[in-house]
Amino acid sequence: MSLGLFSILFAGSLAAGALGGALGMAGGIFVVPLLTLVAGASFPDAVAVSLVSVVACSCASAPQFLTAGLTNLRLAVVLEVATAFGALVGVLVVGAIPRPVLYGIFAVVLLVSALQMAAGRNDRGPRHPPRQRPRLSGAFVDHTGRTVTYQVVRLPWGVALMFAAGSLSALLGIGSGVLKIPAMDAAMRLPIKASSATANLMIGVTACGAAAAYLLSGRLDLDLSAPVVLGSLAGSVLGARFLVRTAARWLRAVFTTVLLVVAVPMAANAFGLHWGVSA
Amino acid sequence: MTSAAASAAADQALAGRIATLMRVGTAGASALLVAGACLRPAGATGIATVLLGSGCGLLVLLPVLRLVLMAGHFARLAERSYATISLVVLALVIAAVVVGVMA
Repeated sequence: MSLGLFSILFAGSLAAGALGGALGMAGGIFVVPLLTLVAGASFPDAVAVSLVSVVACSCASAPQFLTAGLTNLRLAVVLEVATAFGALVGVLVVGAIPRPVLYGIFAVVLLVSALQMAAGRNDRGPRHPPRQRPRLSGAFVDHTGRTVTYQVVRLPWGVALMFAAGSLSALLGIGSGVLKIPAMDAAMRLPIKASSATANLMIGVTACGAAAAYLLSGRLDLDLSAPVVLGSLAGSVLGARFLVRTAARWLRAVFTTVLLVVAVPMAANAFGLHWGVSA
Repeated sequence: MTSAAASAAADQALAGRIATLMRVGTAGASALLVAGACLRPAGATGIATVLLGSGCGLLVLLPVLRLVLMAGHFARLAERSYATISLVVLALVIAAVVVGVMA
């Protein structure tokens, strides 16, 4: 690999990791197009490298969130049953589902998630309050020094969405934080910083099974992995620091924009235009 | 200290241990990847491949080690449900690896 390509992949992955880290995502959705368009990698190779970078982003940004008290560990491990099971199903069925169908489903999910984020939480309160889970409740200190306490509601909805997120991770080489965060914020009504930090931790477990399979079976391109993983590691550390310091409203606006922007190439792929990824 | 407050304090200590694991692990993986990336153009292909593979392998192992830490933590607190959940997640991850390698 030339020094120029190494630098481009490193810089691109750093930017993807920083943006992802700031939003509690992993940036995998940007890494796959980067590898296929710039490095000329095949789609399966890009997926394999992206999964390792997704794990790297999760591991690198997790300490910042954990020490800030933003991550809900108990909720994370409960939801990881669904994401890990979804990833297992994804590994089992990969290759059997037409790729345009997957892109189409994902584009719809992105658009719905963006609408949820843009609308924000509508806290008028349901007529019959949903069941709360006191053991999964949490608290953290926000950027103004105020202690924010929260309850977890609608857990079955969250679990169902997490299963879908896990399957998409294994199939498309993404962290699916883009789906996990709206699930936790909109469905389970968590504060956005807690949902971002908790989703970030979960992304690592979701992606590590498929990533390990690629590595152990010799299907991981190590030359491509070096610049991408190193860039992702550096970017996610920067992004995590940004998230801890940023107000939730600002973060929500950025997140909504990213959802809409990512939905365009995903929808294009569903119609066979092959934006961002190779066929 | 109430039972809930004690659990919360123990969970925060667990968060600190996981943060340390992630910091040390990513630093080690970064060092391996940088060394491998530097040695590859110098012609030491075999050593570079081992270093790059080890760096990626260490990263992929970190979430698994985190699950082991969590299972042990909840077992020590006699919280069987959360310890079991952690082990179930671990089993699902291992199953995905096996299925993926065999595919």
